[in-house]
Amino acid sequence: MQEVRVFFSKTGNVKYISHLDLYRSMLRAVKRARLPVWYTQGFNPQPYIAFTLPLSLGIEGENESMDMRLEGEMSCEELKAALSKVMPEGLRIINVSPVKDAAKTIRYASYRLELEFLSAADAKAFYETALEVIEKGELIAEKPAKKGKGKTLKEVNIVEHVQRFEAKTDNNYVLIDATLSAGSTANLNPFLLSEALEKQSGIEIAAACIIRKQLFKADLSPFE
Amino acid sequence: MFPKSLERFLLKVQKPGRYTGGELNSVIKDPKNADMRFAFCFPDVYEIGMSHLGMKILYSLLNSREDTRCERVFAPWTDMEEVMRREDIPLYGLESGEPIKDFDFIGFTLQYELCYTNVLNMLDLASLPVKAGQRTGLTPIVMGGGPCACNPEPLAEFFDLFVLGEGEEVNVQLLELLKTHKKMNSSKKEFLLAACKIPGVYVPSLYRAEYHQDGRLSAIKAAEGAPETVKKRTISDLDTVFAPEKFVVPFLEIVHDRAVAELFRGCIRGCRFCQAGFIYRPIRERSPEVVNSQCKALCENTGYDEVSLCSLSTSDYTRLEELLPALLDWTVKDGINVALPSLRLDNFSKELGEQLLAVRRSGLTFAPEAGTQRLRDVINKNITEEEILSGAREAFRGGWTAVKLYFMLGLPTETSEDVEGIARLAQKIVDEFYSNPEKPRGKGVNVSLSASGFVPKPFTPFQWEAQNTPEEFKEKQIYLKEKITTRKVSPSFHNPHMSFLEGVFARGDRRLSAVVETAWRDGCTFDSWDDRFKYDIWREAFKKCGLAPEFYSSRVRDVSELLPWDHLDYGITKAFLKREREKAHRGETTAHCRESCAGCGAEKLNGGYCHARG
Repeated sequence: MQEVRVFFSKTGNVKYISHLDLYRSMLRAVKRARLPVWYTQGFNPQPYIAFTLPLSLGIEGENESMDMRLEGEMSCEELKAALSKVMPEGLRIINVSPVKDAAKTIRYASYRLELEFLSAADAKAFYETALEVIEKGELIAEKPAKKGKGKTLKEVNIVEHVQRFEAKTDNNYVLIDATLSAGSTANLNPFLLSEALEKQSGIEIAAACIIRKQLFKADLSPFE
Repeated sequence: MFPKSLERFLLKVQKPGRYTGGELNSVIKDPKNADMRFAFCFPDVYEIGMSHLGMKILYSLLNSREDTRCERVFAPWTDMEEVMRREDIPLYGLESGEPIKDFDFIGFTLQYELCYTNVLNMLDLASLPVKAGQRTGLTPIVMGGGPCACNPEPLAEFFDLFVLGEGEEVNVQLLELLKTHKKMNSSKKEFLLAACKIPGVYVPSLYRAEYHQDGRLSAIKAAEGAPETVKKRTISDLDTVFAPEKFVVPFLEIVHDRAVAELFRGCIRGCRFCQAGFIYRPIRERSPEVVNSQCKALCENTGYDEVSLCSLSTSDYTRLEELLPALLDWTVKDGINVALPSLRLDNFSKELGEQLLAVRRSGLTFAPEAGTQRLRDVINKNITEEEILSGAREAFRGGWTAVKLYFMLGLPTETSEDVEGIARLAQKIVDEFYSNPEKPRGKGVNVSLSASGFVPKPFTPFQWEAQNTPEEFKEKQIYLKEKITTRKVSPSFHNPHMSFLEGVFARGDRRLSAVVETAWRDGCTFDSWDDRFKYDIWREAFKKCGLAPEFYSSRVRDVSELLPWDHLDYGITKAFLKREREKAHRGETTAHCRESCAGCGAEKLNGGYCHARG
């Protein structure tokens, strides 16, 4: 049995589907492509698919990945070709390769945030607040606590999870390129960042378009 | 697709995937060559509408025509409705994102009575007047079909036309006709006068209803050359009629998320409460080869891991023994589960069950409908207690530990003994579980018992009966709960006020259009949703319109009374329904159609041929 990693993009309107829906879509794509995948055992056998790092609803992904186990003979190129033929609009296969890095080695993810404001003045003011906050090194936000019952929130300093932050303004827009903590140990959802900045500046974001560009390991080399 | 202006709000509503389109196998066409536009509307949320087989068939059929673009439209949930009204975004088709008010046809499928306010709300969200008379242009033509079209009178004011019966042929005829009339720049009236000549097309504005002093109907008069009676449409050959090989595959999980193929239309059973069992007659079967190849194509094109065989009573398919081995031959290999809903207990063989178990175990549902043999005979359910218990026994031996039971409260002639009988029967099923020597250790049994309120429906032998009042339903629910003494049985009940309103509109006349409109204007939508149902507003709406709902539901009608649907012909004759009603009151059963023909009359819709008679 060989384990392969399928890199794909999730762009456009499919950003409105949840992780669970994405999983189901991939299961069906695998069925349509008639791939020789390994099925989970038990009452309800399903093709084995494991997503590396789930993407939140509303965020696009340019280089996402999922792992599959192949039982039959099929090369990575053949698999890519077969899967590409059956993907729904918005999901595209970029590359298929043997699994190299373990999912737990992921430490960071880079994002592009395109934030739209009601006026250029709003955009400018938001931009200035953002730079100031990052410079100061503290932006406290509430995040649902992992442990404990009910809706307990814990306070986190978001800036501690910002590895890189570059921003510029363009008319009504603020464009941010940021690398944030990602993975199983610490993970910063970019929506939490944009919302915390919104709260801090008191300026409403009219619309946000967020794209996850790439996953990285601790040494900032790309996750493969 | 969706309008660009929606983009910034989509992340603020629940399940935005309901509104974006772009699913696999959705059909997006070049507008240049396809100038006839059809909006297929399902007046409920996406997950429910997308599960509906009729929509899948007609969507594929219409889109298979080069000149037609058919798009899907569902009722936006209240959070989305709020956004659309605030931002002035009219209701759009999921394929193009363009407003449906610019389409040629807006077709609603009417599956249940409690969706009527949603129909009005969708027209309003489309920026169209809800009343047909106020939509003066030729297009859009607003039409309705589906089971509720067999008595569409409560919606008469809102629709330009209704299609009675099966839609595969008549929709195409209507499309052709409208295409011609668009070229001729006809008025809507000119089109409707021509449309009413097509068999199966009912144009309500061409009929006038007259009433007696006491409110009963005295006459329905056809005018301007419209036919006196409109006969429903029937597809004669199910092997050659269009059947889709592709389904739109939603990203969201929908209610029935699987491939579906029809086995047959109609039903041989004649359960007297069941409208579907009468209005889809005569019985017509598809050949196993056609079903099998459709299943295969659907699975290949969708990637679904379950295929369901659809009919009113699966085990009555005469060629099931041919079909199943052919089907299981490839489904097992491909890891695809075959679902056989609507199995009857009296002819469900052990072998059949074992074959199905080869793939996956799904839930098990029995529908005894009534608690005593006497009442089961009244409703012609034709199933004995022993058959029910032995079915349960087989299931428990096969390893099931949970079963679902469906019953109805308020059936004609019901007594407290019959209600108590429901609890007794459920108890006996629990006992069956514990008397099974091979029962799994440490596992209990769970019998979920669902009791709905009986709703007398048009074109059934019970169409003249009084329905229980909400108070009577409530009393019976309490009584039944008291009689259930084991915690192994968990009862659930339908909202009695919903059953009541369903009953009112099922047998209502066209005066009720005013009530539907008033209730909707006062804030009713999604009435079949428990958390959205506003009974007080409905009560108030009846009062405002000067109509008593009890007049429609709680009164026994005389068999000589003119009924609001008497000008609509569904094949089965009134004489047959009367005979069946009399037999019901005598507690006599009627054999199923393959055993002996009961003379329902529906075969005349199919050139005198009925598959049950051969």
